[in-house]
Amino acid sequence: MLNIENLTVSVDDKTILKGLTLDVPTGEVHAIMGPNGAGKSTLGYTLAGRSNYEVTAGSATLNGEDLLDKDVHERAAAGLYLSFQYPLEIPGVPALTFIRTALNAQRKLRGEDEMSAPEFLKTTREVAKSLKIDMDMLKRPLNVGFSGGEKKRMEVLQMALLKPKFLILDETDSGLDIDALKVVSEGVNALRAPDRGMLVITHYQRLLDHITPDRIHILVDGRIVHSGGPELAHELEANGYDQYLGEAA
Amino acid sequence: MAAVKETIDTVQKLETYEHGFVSDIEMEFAPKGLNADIVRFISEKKNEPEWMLQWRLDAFERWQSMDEPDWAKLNYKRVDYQDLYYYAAPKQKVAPKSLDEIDPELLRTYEKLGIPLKEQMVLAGVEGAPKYAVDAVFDSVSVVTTFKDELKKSGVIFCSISEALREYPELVRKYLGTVVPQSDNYFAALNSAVFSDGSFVYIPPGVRCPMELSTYFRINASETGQFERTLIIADKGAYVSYLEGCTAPMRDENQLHAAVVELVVLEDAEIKYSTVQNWYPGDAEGKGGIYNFVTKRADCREPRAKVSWTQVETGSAITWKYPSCILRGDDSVGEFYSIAVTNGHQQADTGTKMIHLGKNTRSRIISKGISAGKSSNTYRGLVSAHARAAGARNFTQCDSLLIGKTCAAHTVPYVEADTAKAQFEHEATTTRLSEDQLFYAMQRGLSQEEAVALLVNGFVRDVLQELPMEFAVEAQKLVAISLEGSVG
Amino acid sequence: MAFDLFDPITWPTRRDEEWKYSDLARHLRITPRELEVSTDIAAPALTLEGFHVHNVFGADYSGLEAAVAASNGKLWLRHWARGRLDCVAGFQNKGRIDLKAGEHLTLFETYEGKGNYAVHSELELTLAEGARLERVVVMDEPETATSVRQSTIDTAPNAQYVQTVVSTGAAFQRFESHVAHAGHGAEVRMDGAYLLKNKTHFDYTTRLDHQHINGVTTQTIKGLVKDQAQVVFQGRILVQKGADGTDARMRHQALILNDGARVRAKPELEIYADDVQCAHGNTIGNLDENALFFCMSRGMDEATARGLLMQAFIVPVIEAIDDDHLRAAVLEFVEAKAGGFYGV
Repeated sequence: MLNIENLTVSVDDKTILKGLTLDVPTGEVHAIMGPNGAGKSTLGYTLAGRSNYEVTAGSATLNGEDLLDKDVHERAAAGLYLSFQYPLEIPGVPALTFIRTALNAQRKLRGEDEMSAPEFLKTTREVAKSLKIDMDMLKRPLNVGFSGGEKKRMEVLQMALLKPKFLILDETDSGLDIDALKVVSEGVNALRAPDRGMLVITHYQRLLDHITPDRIHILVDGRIVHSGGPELAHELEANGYDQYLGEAA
Repeated sequence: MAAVKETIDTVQKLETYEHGFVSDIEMEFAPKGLNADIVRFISEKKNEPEWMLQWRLDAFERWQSMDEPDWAKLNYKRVDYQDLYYYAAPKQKVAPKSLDEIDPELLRTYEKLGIPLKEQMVLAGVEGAPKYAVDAVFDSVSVVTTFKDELKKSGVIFCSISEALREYPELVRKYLGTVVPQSDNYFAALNSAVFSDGSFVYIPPGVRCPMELSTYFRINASETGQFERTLIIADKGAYVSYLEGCTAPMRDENQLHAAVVELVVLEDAEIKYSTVQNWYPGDAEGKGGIYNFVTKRADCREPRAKVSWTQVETGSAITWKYPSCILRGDDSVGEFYSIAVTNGHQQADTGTKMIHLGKNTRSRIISKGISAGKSSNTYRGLVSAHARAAGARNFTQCDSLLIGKTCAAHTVPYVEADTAKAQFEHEATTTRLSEDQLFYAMQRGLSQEEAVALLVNGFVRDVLQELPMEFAVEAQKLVAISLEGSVG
Repeated sequence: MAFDLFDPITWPTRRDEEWKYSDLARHLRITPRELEVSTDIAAPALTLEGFHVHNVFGADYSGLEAAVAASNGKLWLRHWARGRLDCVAGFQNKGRIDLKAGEHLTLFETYEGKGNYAVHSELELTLAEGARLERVVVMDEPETATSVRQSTIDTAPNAQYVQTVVSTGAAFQRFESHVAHAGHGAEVRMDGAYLLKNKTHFDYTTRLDHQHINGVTTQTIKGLVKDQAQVVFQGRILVQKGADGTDARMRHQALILNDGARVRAKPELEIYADDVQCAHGNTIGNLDENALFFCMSRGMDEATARGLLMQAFIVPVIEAIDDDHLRAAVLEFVEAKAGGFYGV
C-alpha cells in the first residue's frame, strides 16, 4: 500500500528526514512514535505535498502510484488523507459546503460522477450523528470558533465522508479530553478496513490505547530506528526515548 | 441655432471626407471634441425641450471651469477630452470583424461563463453583431413587450431617459440633478452636459415593483453610451430592486465611462440597487481597458426611506466610484455592500459616503477588497453626522485580502461627527490569503484555483448574500474567474 | 521644515490632504512676529522627581545635546512660550536627539505658555540598534496658542519607540510624528489621550512607515471632546513592499459630550506587502448607557457616574506609561484637568 523508500526531506535548507524507509501494507494500521523534533509532522506534510518541504532523495508510492510528482489535490484524489494536528479555520465557508466541494472535486478528478445534494446530506447526517456532531454546526463556517475537540471531530467527519484509501493522523489526540478522545478514536476505528491503511503519528502512547496499531515504528532524527508490535508503546511509556537517541547518532 | 446648423454641416463634410459617401439616412455622428455646439447638437438630436438644453449648457460651462480630481490613489494617462466622440461614437468603424480579433483571454472567460457564441460576438462588439443582440439576448421582442405591459399595469414607468424627457418631461424636470447637481464634480458635470441616454424609473406611491428591473432588459430599446444617466424615483411607500450590468465582460471601444446615477427615495420607500461591473480591464500588460468614473448617489429625502447599494466590481482598468447615501429623512437607512476585485494592472478607488443629516438615521458599510497581480485596490469612504443627526448610527467593516507580493491594498476612511448622540463604529483589517488554508483545502482535494475560489468566496460571503439570488451565483463565479492565475 | 511660520505662502491649507481638517492658513491669517524669547517661565503644572530639567524657550533647542548627556536617562524638556497682547509672537526652530546603540532614554516633554503665540517646532529623534526611547508628552497650552509640533523618528532593528501624547488643546494645536520603522524586531507604540473643551482644536497626526520585515506597531488613542472643541486624528500605517511579517494595529476611540463638538478621524492603512496583519478600528459615541445605569443603580449620582466612566475611558492610555514616576505625575495631571470636564 504505502511504500516509502529512503525519503530525504529538507525544509529551509535544513535536512529533517534522512533516508526514511517504511512500508504499510493494505489493511494495516501503523504508528510512528518519536520525540519532539524527530520529523514526525514533516513526514505527514511531505506525503501530502506541502510546499517548501523539499524532497532531495527517495520515493513514496501509494498502491504503486508515485505520490511525489503529484500536486496536493491530486494526492488527495488518489486517496491520501492527512488529518491536521491544528485544523485550519475557513471563514465564510460553511463546513457542509467545504466538504461537498472537496468531495466532488476529488470525484471529478477520478472521473466519477458528482454526489447529489440529497445523497450527500443523507450520508453526512448519518456520519455526523455517530460523531455527535450537530447538523447546525455544519452550517457554520468550517472550524471557525470551534473547540479543539470539535475541530478534531470535524477532521474525522471529513475522512468518513471523503473515504480515503490511506489515512495519516497527525497528533490527533492533542488537545482532546478523554471523552472527545473516545469519540474520535471510535470514529477512526470504524474506518479500519481490509482495503484501507493508516499511519498514526503520535508522541504519546495514550492514543494507541484507543487505536491499536499492528506495528509501531520509532522515528528519531529523521530515520526509523526501531520497529515492533503494539507492546512497544508500553515499553516506550515506561522507558522513554532515551535508549534510542544514541542509535540515531 | 446657426451654430447648430454649422455643426451639422461640418459633420457632414467630415463624413463625406472620411468615408467617401454621404449618408442619406439620419446623420448619426458628431465630430470629435467638445464645445457648446456639440452640447446643442446632442440636445437637438434628441428633440429635447429648451430647459433641458439650458441645463446641459449650464453644466458644460461649469465643467470648463473645473479641474479633473487627482486625490484618488489612481495612476493613469489623463484623458484628452477633445479627442473623444460625444455623440454616437463610430463604433462600427473600429469594431473587430470577427472573434479572431478579440483578446483570446476575454474569449476564454466567455467560455467559462458558458455564454453562447452568438452572444459572445455581441458582447465583444463584433461588427454586424448588434442586431443579433436583441434576438440572442432576449428570446423575442414580445418578452420585452409583455414585461412592459405588466409594469404599466402597476403604474411603473421604466424607459430610456430620452423617452422620459419626451413622455414625462415634468417628472424628469422635477428630479433630474436634484441628487447630483450639474457641478457636483468634474465627471458629473461632463456627464450632465453630454449624456446620451440611460434609464428612467418611476415607482408610484405604495407600489411594489412586481419584478426586478434590469438594464440588461432595456438595452435593446435604446443604446446606452459612454455617458449614461440614470434616474430612479421611488415615491412614498414604493419599492424597487434594480440590477445594473451583467456578469459577462463587455468589450467596449469607449475608453472613458462617466455615468451618473441618481436615486430619489421618498417617505417609507426603498430602492435596492445592485451592480455587477465587469468591463474590459485591459490586457495582460495593462493596455486598453475602460476608465470607469461614476457618480452614484441616493437621496433619502423623507422619513424612513431606505437605500441599499450592492456592487461587485471586477472589471475596468480604472474604477473611481463612491455610491453614496444622503440620509436626510428621519429614520432613513443607507447600506453599502461592496466587493471589489483587482488583478493584473487594474486600479480601483471605490467606497461610499454616508451623510447623516436626519435623526435616528442608520447606515451600514461592508466592503471586501481583493487585490492580486500588480493591481491596486483602495477603499475610500466617508461617514459623517451633522450636529442635528441625533441617534445616527453607522457600522463599517472594511476588509482587504492580498494575493501575491506585487499588489497593494489601501483603506482610507474619513469619519466626521458633530453630535454627541451618534454612534459610529469602524473596523478594518488587511490580511493575505493564508498558505495554510490553501494547503488544507488542497489536501482535501481542491485544485489550487478551486481552493483560491473557495477561500475568496468565503471572504466575500457577507456581501454576496445581499445580491438577488441568480445574480449572486453568477457574481460568485465571476469573482473566481477574475482571480484565475493569481496564485503560484 | 515642512513650512515656514514666517512665510504665509508656505502655510498649509485644507486643500493639502495632509491638512484637510487643520487649515493653518485659515487659522493664522496674520504672520506672527519673530521676537526675542522671554525666559520668564511660570512654575510647572505638575511635579516630578528624578528628572533632569531642561527649558526650551520658544523653540530654542540649544544645549539639548548636553542636557541629554547630563540627564542620566531621564530628561524633562520644559517647552515654554510667552506670547504678547499686541501681536502674535512667533517661534520656530528644531532640535535633535540621537540615541546610541542600546541606550535608553525617558523623555518627558511639556508644552506650556502664556498669551498669544505661535510656535512651530521640530524634533528629530534617532534610535540606533536596540535603543529605547519612551516619550511622554503633555500639551498644556493656553487656549490662545497656535502650536504645531512636528517630529521625525528614525528607528533601527530591535529599537523600541514609545510615545504617549496627552493634550488639552489650544486655539490651534497639532502634534505630528513621522516614524520610519526599521522592522527586524523593532517595536513602536504611539498612544494618545485628549480632553478638549471650549473652542480648542487638537490634531494628532501619526505616520508610520514600515520599511522592513517583522515590524510591530500598536496604537491606542482615546479622548473626549465637548463644547465647540474639535479633535482630529489622522493615523496612517504604510507597509512598504517587502516589509513582510509586519503586525500593525491602530485604534481610535472618541466620546462626544455635546452636539457641536466635533471629531474628524482618518485612520489609514496603505499596504504594499502581502504577508501582513494590519487592522484599525475607530469608534465615536457617547458613554455607555448601560454602564451609566449600572453605576447609578449602585448608588452614584449621575455626575459622579459620568465622571467615573469618563475617567475609566481615558485612563488606560496613561496606565500604559512605563516609567512609574511619570505615570503617576501624568495621571495626577489628567485627573486635575478632568475635574471641570465631567460636569456635563
